[in-house]
Amino acid sequence: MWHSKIINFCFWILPFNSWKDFLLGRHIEKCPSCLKSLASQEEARSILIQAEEVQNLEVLWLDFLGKLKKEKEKKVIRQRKPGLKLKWQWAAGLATVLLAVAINFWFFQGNKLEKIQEAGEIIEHESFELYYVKIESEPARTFVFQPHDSKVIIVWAEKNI
Amino acid sequence: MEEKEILLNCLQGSEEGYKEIVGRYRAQLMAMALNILGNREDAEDALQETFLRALRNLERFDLRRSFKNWLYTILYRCCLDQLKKMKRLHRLFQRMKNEHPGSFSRDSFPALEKQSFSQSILKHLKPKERAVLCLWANEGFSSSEMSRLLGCSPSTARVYLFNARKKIKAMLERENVALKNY
Repeated sequence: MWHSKIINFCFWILPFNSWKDFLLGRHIEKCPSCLKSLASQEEARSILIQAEEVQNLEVLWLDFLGKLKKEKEKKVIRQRKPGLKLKWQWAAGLATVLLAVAINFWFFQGNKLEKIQEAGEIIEHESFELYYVKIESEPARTFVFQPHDSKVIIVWAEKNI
Repeated sequence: MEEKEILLNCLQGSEEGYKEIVGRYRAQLMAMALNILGNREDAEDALQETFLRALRNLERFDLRRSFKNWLYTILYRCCLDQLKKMKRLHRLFQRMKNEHPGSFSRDSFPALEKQSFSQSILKHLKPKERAVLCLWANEGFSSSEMSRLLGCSPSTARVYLFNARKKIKAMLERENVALKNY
């Protein structure tokens, strides 16, 4: 009796379930007095709701069918719309490339100006070269243009379709 | 019709297949949902969500595995979601009650006012304990089956079951003593 009480006390203070399970297997599930303190399957069943007791489930099918139809309709609408997610990916890719090109452009221009200032001479015709632009790892169509009387160069890149 | 055949029908979008699946498992699943959640409305919501999720993900289901166990796994997760929702709702009501004490009567709260003895016993168990107890007593699941369903180790499932059985026994004994004294 005392042995069982000690084991049960240990069970409650042990922190890990694997240790508790060890005690369960070693003692509690084999000891008649410990088993007496556990509800049997019949006792558990007596307080649980059984499948046979559940009634009026016909409505459930109709509700479920309604939800299922709604879901199918939504799916069809989603399929009809051209991949919205893909569009966003495409736009994000394009924006990133443009940003990268613009940053590179300004960065290199800044370096050039510094070099020119260091050399003490001014070069009027700067050159701008663009080797390639990729969108989503694919070569993109690229347009470079400069508005009149402006030092701004605009690079427009779009995906090759 | 065999279960595999019905599932293949469902995969092809057959409404009859869906009906067959729902009809075959609804009572067992409903019983489990009622045992975990304790009220009909939430149990119905959890059950509908279970069937919807199951049919939505049927393509991913391995036909060699037990479909019933898979459904139970989904139902268990839906019940946990539903319990979280109930807790959030309860907290909201509590906050509103504290902020506007005069505006709420006792009936406004979504609580189980009249509970049977068995429901009041089950209320003392944690959701995981209720789930393992239900699977063990109603369905005869082994600890490894329960662990797969709950997403825990078999030893943890056994400990949950032990705790549930111990709590129930203590409450049943207390009730018996109370009846004898009465």
